[in-house]
Amino acid sequence: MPIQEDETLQMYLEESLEHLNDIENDILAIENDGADINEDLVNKVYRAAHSIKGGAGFMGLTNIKDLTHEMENILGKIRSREMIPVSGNINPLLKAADKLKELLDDVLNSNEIDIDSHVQELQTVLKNEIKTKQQVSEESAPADKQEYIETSEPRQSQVATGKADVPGAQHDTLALTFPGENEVLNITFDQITPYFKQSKHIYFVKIRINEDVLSQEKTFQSILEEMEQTGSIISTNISLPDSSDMDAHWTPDTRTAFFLFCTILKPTDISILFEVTEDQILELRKDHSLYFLNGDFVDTSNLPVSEPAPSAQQITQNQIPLETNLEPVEFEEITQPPEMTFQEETSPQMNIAMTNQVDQQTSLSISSQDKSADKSAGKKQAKFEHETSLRVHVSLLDQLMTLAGELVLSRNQLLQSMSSNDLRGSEIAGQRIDLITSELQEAIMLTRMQSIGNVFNKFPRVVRDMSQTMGKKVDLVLEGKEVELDKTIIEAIGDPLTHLVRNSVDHGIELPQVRQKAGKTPEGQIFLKAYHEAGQVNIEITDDGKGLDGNVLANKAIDKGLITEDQAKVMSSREKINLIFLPGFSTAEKITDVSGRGVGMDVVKTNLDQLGGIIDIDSELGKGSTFRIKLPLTLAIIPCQIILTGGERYAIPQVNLEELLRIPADQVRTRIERVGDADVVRLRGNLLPLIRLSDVIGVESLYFDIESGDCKKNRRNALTDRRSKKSPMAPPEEDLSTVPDEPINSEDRNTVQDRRYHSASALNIVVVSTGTMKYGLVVDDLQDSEEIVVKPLGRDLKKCKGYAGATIMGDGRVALILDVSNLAHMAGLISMENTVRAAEVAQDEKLAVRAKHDRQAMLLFRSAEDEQFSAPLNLVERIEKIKRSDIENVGGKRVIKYRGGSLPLFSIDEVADVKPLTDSDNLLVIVFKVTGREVGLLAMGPVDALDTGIEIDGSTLKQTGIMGSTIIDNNTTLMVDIHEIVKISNPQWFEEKPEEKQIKTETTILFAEDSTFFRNQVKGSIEQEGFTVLEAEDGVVAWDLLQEHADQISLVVTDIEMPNMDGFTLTTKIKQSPLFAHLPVIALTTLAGEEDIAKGKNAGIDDYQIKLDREKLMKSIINFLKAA
Amino acid sequence: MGMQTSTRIVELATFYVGQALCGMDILKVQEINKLMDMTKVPQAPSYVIGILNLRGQIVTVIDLGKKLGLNNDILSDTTRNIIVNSDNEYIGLIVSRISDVVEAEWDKVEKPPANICGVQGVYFKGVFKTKDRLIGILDVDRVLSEDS
Repeated sequence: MPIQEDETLQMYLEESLEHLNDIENDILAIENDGADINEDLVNKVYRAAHSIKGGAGFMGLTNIKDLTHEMENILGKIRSREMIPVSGNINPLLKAADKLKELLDDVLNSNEIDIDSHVQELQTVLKNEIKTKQQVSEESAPADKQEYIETSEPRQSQVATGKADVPGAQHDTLALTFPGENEVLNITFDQITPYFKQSKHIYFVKIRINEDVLSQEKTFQSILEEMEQTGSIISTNISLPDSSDMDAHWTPDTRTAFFLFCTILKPTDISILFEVTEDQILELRKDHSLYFLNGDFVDTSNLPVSEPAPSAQQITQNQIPLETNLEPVEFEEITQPPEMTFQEETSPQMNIAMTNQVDQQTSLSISSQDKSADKSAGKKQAKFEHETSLRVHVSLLDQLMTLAGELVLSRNQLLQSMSSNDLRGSEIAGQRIDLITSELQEAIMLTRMQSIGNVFNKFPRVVRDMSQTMGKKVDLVLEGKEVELDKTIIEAIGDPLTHLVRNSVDHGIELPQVRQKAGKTPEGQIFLKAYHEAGQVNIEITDDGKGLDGNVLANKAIDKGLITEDQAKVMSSREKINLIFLPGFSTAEKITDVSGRGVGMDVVKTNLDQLGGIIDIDSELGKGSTFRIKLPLTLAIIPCQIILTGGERYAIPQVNLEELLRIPADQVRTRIERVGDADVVRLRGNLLPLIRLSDVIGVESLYFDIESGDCKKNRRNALTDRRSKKSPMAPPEEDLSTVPDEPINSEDRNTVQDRRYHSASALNIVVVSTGTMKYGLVVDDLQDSEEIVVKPLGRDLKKCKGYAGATIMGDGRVALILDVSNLAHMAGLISMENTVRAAEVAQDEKLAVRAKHDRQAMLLFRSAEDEQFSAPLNLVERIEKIKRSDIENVGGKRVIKYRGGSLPLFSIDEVADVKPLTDSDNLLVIVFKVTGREVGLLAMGPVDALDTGIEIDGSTLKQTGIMGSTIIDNNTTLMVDIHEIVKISNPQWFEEKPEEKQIKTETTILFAEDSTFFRNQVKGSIEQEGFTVLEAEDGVVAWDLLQEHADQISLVVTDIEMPNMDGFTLTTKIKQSPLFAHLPVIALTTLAGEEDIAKGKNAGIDDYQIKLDREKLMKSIINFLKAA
Repeated sequence: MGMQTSTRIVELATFYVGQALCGMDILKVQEINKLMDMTKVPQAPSYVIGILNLRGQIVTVIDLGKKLGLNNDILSDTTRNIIVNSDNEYIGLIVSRISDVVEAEWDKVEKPPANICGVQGVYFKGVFKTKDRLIGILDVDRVLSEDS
């Protein structure tokens, strides 16, 4: 049956590949251990190799068998400490393991692949080792070992136990008899020695025709077949007919048949083959005496002595060539008959390795062998497509089963309630089904999850091999191997990751001498780390090599004509580094065999794009680079933001989603500008290019007209145009935005009731990122975020690049999934082009920001109808809409069920003396993270985010939970101190470790800040933690204070922008002074720009923190103090 | 397969694309539906009317008339959507009207002329004559594989 045969092979392959996966890293570990071997590890590898070999023997995969055999020999040497694992002998092992993988991958053709070089290499290793050993042993104790080494010349003296040697015979012979039997089997040493050399076992088997064969309803032929598949018959007392004459029921005419049979099966397994009692099998060992299977010596002294010359018809001395007895076994493409005669040049020395065989777990099941004999005849597959299978834990399967059961029950319930018109019952059943479906989905996803270790594990080898050939020293650290990802992603991510790791070794890490000159350790470090964050998997590849030089990259890009010089001038260093992702960019100065083939990072990026992943580079020249990859957990079901454009719904994968932006109609004009022919929006001081989705995909943008209640065509030609009923037919080619105050239109606008404040006139922008590029997609309307199932699009739509697939929505309609990176290309928004324009404007913008000192991004919200609050935006995690009825009162606290846990809720009026929370049904929960926990602040809309540069008053309205006030849009706005509110409601969260308290009371911190509000605020929070604070209004004062209190101050916290002396200068002074250079300096900013950070690092700033993120500041302070 | 196999009888589902009577092997047809609510696909080829959800499968719906270069009235009451399975993918073909199921003997099917009602002959497997009508037997896979 060919299927079963496939199954056997399949099982063998799976098992072997699994063994092989471990082998590589284990071999590397063995190499690392050096002379001090870890015996368990060596045994493990040895066993793995042996299992592969054993199976290969059954399957007739001679090449695999031969190769593993050689590997086994070397491993045996290492185990017996006769060989010290060094790269010289480990290399051939690794290469052989690679070859083995290749053979297993193409198993059906494996016998035709040339493995000679590998076998020879392995043998050379062995021979060299033996030679040296021999020399040693000849000098010291020449006697013992030589015996085995020279078994090719059998010695008569050894054959002491052989029953009846024929004296004077040309070859030494051996006569074998079974205890209690008369028949003698005569063999020559020549017949058996080769098998010993191949470290096979030789058994002397007695089969009683009646008892063991006929009464068991077996045929003699089946026994012969089994023997032939597992080994070869050296000699027998019966005369076997030619295979052509032999019919299925042929039985020899003797009562008892004896066989001398050689096989790789161990004594522990041999009885399964013959299915006879154990005393019917004896083992013939190298000392040419017989042993019982339990290892007892067969005492032959009381056995009847037989004739030295046996009767002719009883004993045939011929080795029986199998193929003449039986039909040749037609295992595909196996040219060798399955008798498994070793044909390689087995060197006699090999026996040494084999003398101490491990008790290996030969996982060969005997019953499977006859299947391999079944003809899978004829069809010559080019390649054995081995179907992939997954291992799933039984408990998980059980869980699935239970869920399936529940689903069926709920369905019954639903059907019943539906048929009886029981609305309540249907509702309950519906809810249950909802619950079960999510659980089922989760459980099924789990079955597809595999640990990233599967990919990571191959890197030690990659790094080792590369660093050796390149003469580098690299230390690879793996972290987070247990992080799990969907199978498809695991499979697809291997190549890009390998590329990145290779790049790090090739381009990142310098040669040892270069490193030493640069004051680094000669060993480079590559740090590979995987971890979960925000429902995604992050992978980081960090090296401490030479880093990427943005200017070199830019020059190269200019040379290759990828960008122009002008473009390069206005690029930030980060953008320059990201040039590496441009197609056709390779930085290798010389082409090595590892990289520099012109295809490089752009391929990595494309691959990751296809997976919905994002890649990002951080690099500092001379210090190293970090590549960050973000990947979705799974591809099949993804969370998406649903948007509406042109009356159709579209889904944008959450991976690409950065934030949602709604620009109220009255701000559209001020916040959206046209640069060249592109729209840009000002977002927290940066310019973001905008794309109108309706333009890109060529549909009509619609908006919902509140007055008439239906959808109308949006006639805006440019985003900044206002809608006006009275001028609907404004000529389309007229670009109103460039000339905003065109007289004809402005007159209309003034007369018409201004509709700018209608919510329908607001702009909805989905800020998406594609790794290197961030842009805003202008859509008609924003809807919910949903988990969707990705379905492929048909072939007619493959050319529509803007879509990544389709999905079926809750109402049964289909929605398209947008591919944001292709949309950008379709809109002609290529990162570089956009950079030029944006950078020009951004420069002015930056200056403007600098001028407006101390800007802070704030979130505006309300708690009572007429009281406006604000909180630092960077502390906000998320905002959720809830119903008042969702709030539960548990244990005296208000909580809400949230993402599988309970989210504690607070309102400002609990702590501060403000108006009580409004009595509305629809509330907002602003989720903050405090002391590592998420807390929700109850609030109500409208919420808004804005950058404020307005003076903050830190005294007039200050009270518990309120840090100060400011005026925004003519409203007095109270700034909420989240930290304080939580601290008052939950003081137990803030209990500190005693040793930290110790540090704090003994520490004085110098704090420089010019804004009174921030100075008081930050000083207060540092003091609350128990530190002593010395405050300074600017750098000059700070420097003076430092001189004065030189021996007290242990840390400096400074603002950057200050009059008289700024934070950079102060830091430089501190770091250059021998007295103070050791002091850690933490810089506080409101918004840290890339360039500022780089500048600060140069000045010697140790860390950057955001002004109102109290928790992180404290953490940073404590970390520095602990380190000191 | 097997136009040469004699006396093989094939059941043809026949339908009108505009004024042209066409047929296809009924075994190709998965189901015939009235027009359903479809999702438009901006930027798709002009012959693609939209995509719809057929019990969890995404089906691309094609205006067969436009695909063949015929005038096809797809907005009348008689308009139907024939769901066919071509190359392991469900595709909906919009036709003007459904007609009878006709039994055709393959040996009476004639080779298609170079042009049938303005449609290239290569799109047809053959032409079958009944008493009063001429049915062009569409090679559905061919029609759907061509990018026209």
